[in-house]
Amino acid sequence: MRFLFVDSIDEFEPGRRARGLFLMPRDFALPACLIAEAIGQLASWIAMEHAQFNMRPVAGLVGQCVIEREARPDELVELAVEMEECETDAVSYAGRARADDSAIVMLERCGAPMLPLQDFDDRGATRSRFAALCSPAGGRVGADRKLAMPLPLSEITYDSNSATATLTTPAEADFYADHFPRRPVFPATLLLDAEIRLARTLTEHLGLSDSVTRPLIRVSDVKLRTFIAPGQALELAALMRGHESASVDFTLSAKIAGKRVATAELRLERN
Amino acid sequence: MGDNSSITRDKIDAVYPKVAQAIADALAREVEECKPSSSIIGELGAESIDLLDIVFRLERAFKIKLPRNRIVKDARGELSESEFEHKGILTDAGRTRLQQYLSEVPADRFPTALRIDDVPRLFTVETFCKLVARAQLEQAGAA
Repeated sequence: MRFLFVDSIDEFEPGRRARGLFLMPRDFALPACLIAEAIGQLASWIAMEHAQFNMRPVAGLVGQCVIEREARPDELVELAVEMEECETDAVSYAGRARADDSAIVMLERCGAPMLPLQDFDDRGATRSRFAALCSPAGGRVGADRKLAMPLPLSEITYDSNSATATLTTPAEADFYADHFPRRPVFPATLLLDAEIRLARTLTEHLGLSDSVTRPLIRVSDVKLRTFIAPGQALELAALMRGHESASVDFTLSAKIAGKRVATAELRLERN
Repeated sequence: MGDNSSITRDKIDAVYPKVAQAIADALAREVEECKPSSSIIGELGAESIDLLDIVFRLERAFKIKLPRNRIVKDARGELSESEFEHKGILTDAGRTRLQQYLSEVPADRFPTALRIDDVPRLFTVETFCKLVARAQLEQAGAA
């Protein structure tokens, strides 16, 4: 169990909202995209419980994701989700993660289709985990240290205003045991992390990184079009659309064998 | 069958600019490309996740609720499921109902054997205009 980022659910209003906690590992930090994953996982618990564990949401749309800062080791991250729609065929929600009285990640206008849970996980095991999360003891399983290491980008090339790279998803990884037990899928949040890293290397390559050191990261119109399987080679691209003194804008895309699988807009802003 | 007769041309024209903008934004297209008769999937290149995106954008833009599968449910009306479709293919009665309901879609776009899963392939920009106009009417009626 290495890709579960909700340790406990402390407040739960069925189909409407929930609050939960995630304790960052004591001696290493996870990338902020995995805090966004934690918010999405909390929303998934609301959606699955509402669908009586017959259906589960799968990543699809994020209207906006703002990453204010990285989470620090040993921080207790407070998660909150408000469902905008909670139906058996699709859900939409907003959420946020905070720690030490400051915002880490904020998600708005997220949307996800609901698919049969049994295709991804065991229904009984999912119910049991939900019960554990809602119990006073919670259900902390700890995080995998390997997730603190960025997945390598290879074949990085730069043009006058763009960068491309290859990201080969691991053929085997512990996180597939949770994402998902019956159908391993490469997590969209790890793809987003790789895309943002590619864009940041482009700002360095173009000599723009001074204007956005330790930036506020604003990702919008994220759309994931298909499942990404283990071992697939993704062609990543970051196109710089423009820049000002304190911000740089990009269009991000990921393709597999020339077919578009994910798109997003990115703004790095001076924080 | 769900009644579309109260959806007048004026009502469709009134919502069209915002509907076209929402569809253009969802599909990363120019708004001028999103003509009323444009096929959402065939001409504008939408995939299933785009349809969900369009619905969410329209709900936010117009502050309405657009239940998924609404079009098929409304078109089916009082027909039973088995009268409407058989083994995933629309019956003759079901196809006729759908064709009446989606009157904005040219008849030659309806294949003889129409799979229920392929119904979204028929949707045009105007289909979404009618969906929005209808939701607005219902919302006004409920208020």
